[in-house]
Parts: sequence; C-alpha cells; structure tokens
Amino acid sequence: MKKISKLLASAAVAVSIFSYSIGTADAASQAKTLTLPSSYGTLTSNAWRSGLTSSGNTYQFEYQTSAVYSGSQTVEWIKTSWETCASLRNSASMSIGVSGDGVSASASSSWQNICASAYWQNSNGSKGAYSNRRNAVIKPKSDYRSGTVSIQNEAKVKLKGDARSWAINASV
Amino acid sequence: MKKQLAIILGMILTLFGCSQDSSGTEEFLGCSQENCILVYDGVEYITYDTTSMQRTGKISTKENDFQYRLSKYDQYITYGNSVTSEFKIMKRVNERLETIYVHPSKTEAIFPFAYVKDEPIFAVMDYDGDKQKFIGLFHLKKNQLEQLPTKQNEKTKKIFGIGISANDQMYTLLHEDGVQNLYKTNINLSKFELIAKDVTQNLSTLYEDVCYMKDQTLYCGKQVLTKLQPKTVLAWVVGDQYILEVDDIGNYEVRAVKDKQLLLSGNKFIGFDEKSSEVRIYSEGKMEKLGD
Repeated sequence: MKKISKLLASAAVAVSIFSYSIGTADAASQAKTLTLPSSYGTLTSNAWRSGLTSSGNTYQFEYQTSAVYSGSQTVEWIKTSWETCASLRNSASMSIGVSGDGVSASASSSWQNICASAYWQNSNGSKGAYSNRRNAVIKPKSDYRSGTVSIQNEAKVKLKGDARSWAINASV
Repeated sequence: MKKQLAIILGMILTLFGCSQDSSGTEEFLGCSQENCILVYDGVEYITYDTTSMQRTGKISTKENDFQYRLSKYDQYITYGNSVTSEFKIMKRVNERLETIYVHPSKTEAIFPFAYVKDEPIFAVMDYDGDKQKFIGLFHLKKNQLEQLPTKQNEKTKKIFGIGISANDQMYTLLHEDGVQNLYKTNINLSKFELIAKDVTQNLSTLYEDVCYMKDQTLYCGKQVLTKLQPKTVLAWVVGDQYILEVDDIGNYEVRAVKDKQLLLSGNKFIGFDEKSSEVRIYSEGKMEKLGD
C-alpha cells in the first residue's frame, strides 16, 4: 500500500511538472473510488504510467495498476484488470510486460487501435490486488501515433457473505 | 430514397440491433454480428469473436451492471446493478439475452439459486438499509416471479443469495459468524445439513454432489477431490468429468476427475460453458472443447 501510495504521489508530482509540456508523453495517474452500499466501505481503482521514453527504435513506459478495498468486510476475491492500448500501423508491436502479451498491428499503413490486457486476482483475503510495476515496449517508433497510449484499469471486488460484485474504472 | 433507407435501417435494427420497448427497457443484449458468442467471465457476459478468438466487448458498458448464472443451467440468468439494485431476469436465446422480467423494487436483487424439476428457482435479497435480508425463493409463472412456500427460520435468515443444484439436490451458502458455510437444503428450506464450513463462493457439482474450495483443496461432498496448486484462485468441477483450475493471472489447467491427468492448459483464461458432458474453455487466443 505504501509502495503504491508513493508511486501515485510521485506520479502526481510528475503530472504537475509535465502538465504544461507540449507533447503526449507525460506521466499520468488516476484514482477513482466507489462507495459501496450497505456501509461496506470503498473500492478504489488506481492507474499510473510514466511518460514515454525513447530507447533505440522503441518507446517505453512503466505502469502499475491496483484494486483496493477499504472496509470492514472480508474479501472473497479482488481483481485488477488492465487494458493497454495504442494506435499502431505497419505491423508495429506492443508488449506490456506479462507473458504471452505481445500484440501487433496488421501490415496496413492505416492507424489501428491495438490493445493488450491482463489481470491479477487475489482470493487469499487480501484487501488489495496490485499489478507489479511493469515495463511496456512499443516498436518501431515511426509506427506509433504520438499521444495514443492509454491504460484502463478495472477494479473488481466480491465480499464474503454477499452475492453481489462491484467495479470501478480508472484510466490514464 | 430516404424512406427506403429508413426501411432498410429498421430491418437491420430488428434483425441484429439492440431494440428497446416504449419504456426504454432494453429487450435484447448480446451478439449482433456473425462469429460472435457470449462468454461468461465469472461476473458478467462478454462478447467473444470465434474467428480472432478475442473478447470484443461487454454486453453492458454501465459500471456495476453484472450478470449471475448457474453454469449448467444458463437458459435463465439474472442481470442487475450492484449500486442501484435494478434487477431483471433474462432468457438466453442463442448468443443474445432477452429480458423477460423486470423487478419493480429498487432495493432488491435476484439471483439464480437452483434448477429443480426442470424449473429455474431464484433467490430474492433485500438491501434496504445496511442489513441484507433474504426475502424468499421464487419461480417464474407466465414471466412473473411467484414466491414459493418456504420456511422462515434462523437458517434461512443467513441465506445471502448463493445456491446451486444438481439432480434436484439443492445446496446453499449461509453467512454465519463471518464465514460462508455450505449446507444441503431442500425446496421448502425446511432442512439444513452442514456440508462444510468456511468455503468460497464458487460452487460446482459432480453428479448430485456439491463441490467447493476450502484451504486450497477442492472437495465434492465431504471428500477431497484434489489438492489445488498454490496460486489457484478459482476451481470447479465441470461437465462432471473435469477439474478446471485458474490461477491469479489467468493461467488455467483442466484435468480428468478420474485420474487427474492433464488434458488442457493455457493462459489468459476468460470463462467456460458446460452443457451436459460437453465443456468449452475460452481464453484470449484459444477456444477449446472437451467431451461430446
């Protein structure tokens, strides 16, 4: 929890530093909270990514997502599901740092919205599900449309003793 | 020309689109294109392209809209919003869901509970205030909910909407002292026989026995079926022949119940369907079939 708080805090600083810069590679973060009914507490979805950096013929960025339940109930399971998208063309590829995650655009020269997704689910009673801090790579640079990287994180939770589920999305 | 276009558009919407009745209630949800099927991911139906073998969307984009189903009997499912408590019953017609009943209450939820004598049984819960309350069991009569005569006792007060059945045997979870205990019950809710204490919500069945997860072990009845792997977060018996385990990042394995032989494995698990002894496993990039 401390780790992600620090990340989000640093991301917030990053946003404030870069918010006036021209370009589309700024770091960004969002935390959205849902107040659950029945006085169960809250569910928060966190999404953070660094700015894009250039390395050789690749663009890279780091990202992290999480789902955090805050309340007195026992968690049946909690899940963070994220989808990372970018506009690519000419067979350009994107990997998001999880096994078997590579996605590619078709050979067409038209821009295509390409997405890769993954999730992390906890069912051990933990009140949080945190993706590891991961590195995403887009290549080659010329076939990435500037400013089109996005990450959407859906936090979901199911609580013991209740048949309902809850979800909240955050996006950067 | 405009009139012709309007007629063609109307025909397309009638054939493939989501239609609405005069009250604005969506009558159909689901697939509107070829090579599309509905796949249940544990909390909601998504649309899945059988050519690319990728998920293509959700049947609802409204946050906190979820669907609830019994995997062996998914002809009738319930659909509801966990925040607004607006629930309805939908009938699965091929790869679409048709609304057949809209619950008038804005504090109650409906959950599939059992399938007894070829009839779907639903549990209704009330969430008015901070306490949830079990209202009773209901069946459909002429597409309206009709309450079944059931006992009201200390056990029924602890029902929270999770039930399952097989061969007319009914099982339910009770929330007792902060944990979920599994009981065998009957359609009158007059008997409660304890099967296991402190289990998870993902129940399945093996013939007439109920299967459940407890302490990283999958049980059926009171017998251990198999020890689960350390990272397994969900496990079911499917098609009365297979054990399906899914880990924390979506890697899955399917083993035979009889000898625990590994039959299938993959990653990016989405969901499964079971019809009689035929089982289908859906993942990002793969669609696999076991059985008949």
